[in-house]
Amino acid sequence: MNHPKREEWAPYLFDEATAEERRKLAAHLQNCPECAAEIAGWQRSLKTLDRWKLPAARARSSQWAGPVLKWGIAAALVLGAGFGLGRLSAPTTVDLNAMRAQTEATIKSSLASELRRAVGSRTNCERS
Amino acid sequence: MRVNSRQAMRKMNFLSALFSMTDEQAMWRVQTQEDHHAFAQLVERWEEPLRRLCARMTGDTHRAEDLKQEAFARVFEKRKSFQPNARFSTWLWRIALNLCYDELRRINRRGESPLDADESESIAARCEFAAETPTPDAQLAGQEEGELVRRALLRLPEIYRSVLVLRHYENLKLREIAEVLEIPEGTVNSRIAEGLARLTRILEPQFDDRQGRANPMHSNAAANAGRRTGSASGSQDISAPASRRGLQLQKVLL
Repeated sequence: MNHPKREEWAPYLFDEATAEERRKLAAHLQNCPECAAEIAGWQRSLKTLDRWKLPAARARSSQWAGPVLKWGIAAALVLGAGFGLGRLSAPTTVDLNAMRAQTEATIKSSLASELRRAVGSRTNCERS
Repeated sequence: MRVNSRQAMRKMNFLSALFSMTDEQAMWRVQTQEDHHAFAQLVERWEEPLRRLCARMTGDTHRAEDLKQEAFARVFEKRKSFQPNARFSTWLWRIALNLCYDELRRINRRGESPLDADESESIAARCEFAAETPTPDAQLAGQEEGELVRRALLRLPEIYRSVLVLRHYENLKLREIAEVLEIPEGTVNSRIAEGLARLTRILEPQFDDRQGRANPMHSNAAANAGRRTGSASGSQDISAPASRRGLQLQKVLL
């Protein structure tokens, strides 16, 4: 029996053979148990190749989402820390009032003493 | 109102598809204007096929990631040498395959074995199977079979592996493979036939040894029959714990 050349089976196996080639090769398989067994083995091997599954690639979004999320969290932390420190270190309204009252009192007392001194010196001059 | 917005969205999608650049147009922009946006589009379109090709060729997903990036770096570096009348995909496959060949040569020179199990892949494959199969036993069985196939492919000489990977996994036509490899189509066909013959010689005995459990090389009926009879004789026992079967598999592989 004339067997087809080995390379003739490649287009047949992958559905790339012409209708004529396909018909000829299928007819041969019907009459040749030797080729039928070999081609069946190849077909099983092709099916078996699908058993090797590759892990899915990381999603594109997760590739940039990770760093973006990290930077976002870092920025939020820095902002939060800055805001907190600002709140803690800023003078409260009560402190401002107290400071104003204290300053006013100091100014008033110093002005009063200055005035008293000036009035006193003037009185002494007039007496003399 | 909602219907109108949907229609508008559909029109937009259709228009964007109509006016989106082909690979060759994008490459032309990269070549002439160093258009980074066009390059990013090419990377987005092709990074997954390239990763798959490199993983199948080297049997290592980590290496595949590096090789994929190297391939894109090579594309940008060699952008001026891209022929405007050539197909971008053919050029890209060729670059990636050559990088794989170089890497495999380096591995051989260093005396490493690409057959070493790819841990990360095994874990990921385990997770993948976990979603598909209900029992841990079935998960392990699927993982073992995948590993057998990976090792069988890596035992094939590169010339046979590359044609099988491009045809079976990447679905390139035989004519396209001939263009990528710059060989006659008849040579591709004979390499496919020889590759399949060798692969069958490697795989069949291994899966025959595993008869009595789900066997992709033979009909499910045979496997079921093995289960029903408790698979006496020398074949593996489906009811054996997965860990024990794992040891049996290791013996087969070694």
